[in-house]
Amino acid sequence: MIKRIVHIEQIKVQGEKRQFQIKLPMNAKRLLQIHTTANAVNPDIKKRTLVFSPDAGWLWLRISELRDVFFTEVVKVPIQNYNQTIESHQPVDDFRQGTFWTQGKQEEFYDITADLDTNLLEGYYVDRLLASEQAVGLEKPFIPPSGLNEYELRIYLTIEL
Amino acid sequence: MSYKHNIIKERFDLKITSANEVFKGEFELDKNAHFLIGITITSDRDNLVFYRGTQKIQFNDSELFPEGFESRMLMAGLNVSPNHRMVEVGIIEAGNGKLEVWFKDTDHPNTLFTPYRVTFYTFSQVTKEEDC
Repeated sequence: MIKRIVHIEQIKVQGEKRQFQIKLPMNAKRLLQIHTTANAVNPDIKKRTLVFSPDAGWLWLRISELRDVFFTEVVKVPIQNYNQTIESHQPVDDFRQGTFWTQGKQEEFYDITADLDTNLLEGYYVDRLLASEQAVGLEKPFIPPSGLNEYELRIYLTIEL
Repeated sequence: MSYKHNIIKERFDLKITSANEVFKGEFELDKNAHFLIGITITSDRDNLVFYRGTQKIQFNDSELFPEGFESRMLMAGLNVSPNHRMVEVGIIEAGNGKLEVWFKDTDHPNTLFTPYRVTFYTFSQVTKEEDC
């Protein structure tokens, strides 16, 4: 039997380093798929010059009893032309007016087979949003207005029971 | 609803009329839809669903997608071949298939709320086929 779990971490401080645990069902046998998202604000939403999604943060997951990192990921900020890597294909504002969406592929989970000998996963996350904005060469570092620098890190797990 | 190559495709709409609320939809599949194989989401405001939407989906009281599952994970743009736009859920026996959806709208700085429609498409088989 397959079960999907969403674990949500609230990231409130830029540069935050956070350790957390994900409790799995007692009868979980193995992990089959992982996917991560962060609903952070795209720092370049007005100018729309970014082709690639900036980093939101770095994530490590490990199975606690083995003390072993089995999954790492650079979590990206979502932009509407995600997965689109050819700049000249970027449309002229077809998205923000709510018109039909011509960009993007379906998001896919990362397939993995990790046998579980415990029902606890350990996670470590480092927020990198501000650093990545400076790295992509914006004229001024993005300083989000109050309240906009909070976002949710979501970790999707598909588990075999 | 249409029949083609043994697959029944059905469409169910949910109107999202106010921000930061949960909207519940309950839909019944066609009586000939015996096996649910896939789901996808579209909208008249893709950007709002992309940034603001999460949902829980249950099929016959068994959970397909848990609470907090982002809607954009079930969306696909035109870049995706039409034959690959549905999200596969296995081959679930439908019986009198009842699909329940709890759609939650949450504020996101990239979008301003305006009423929008979320459309759920289900793909079901009349008779069980591994390759469809």
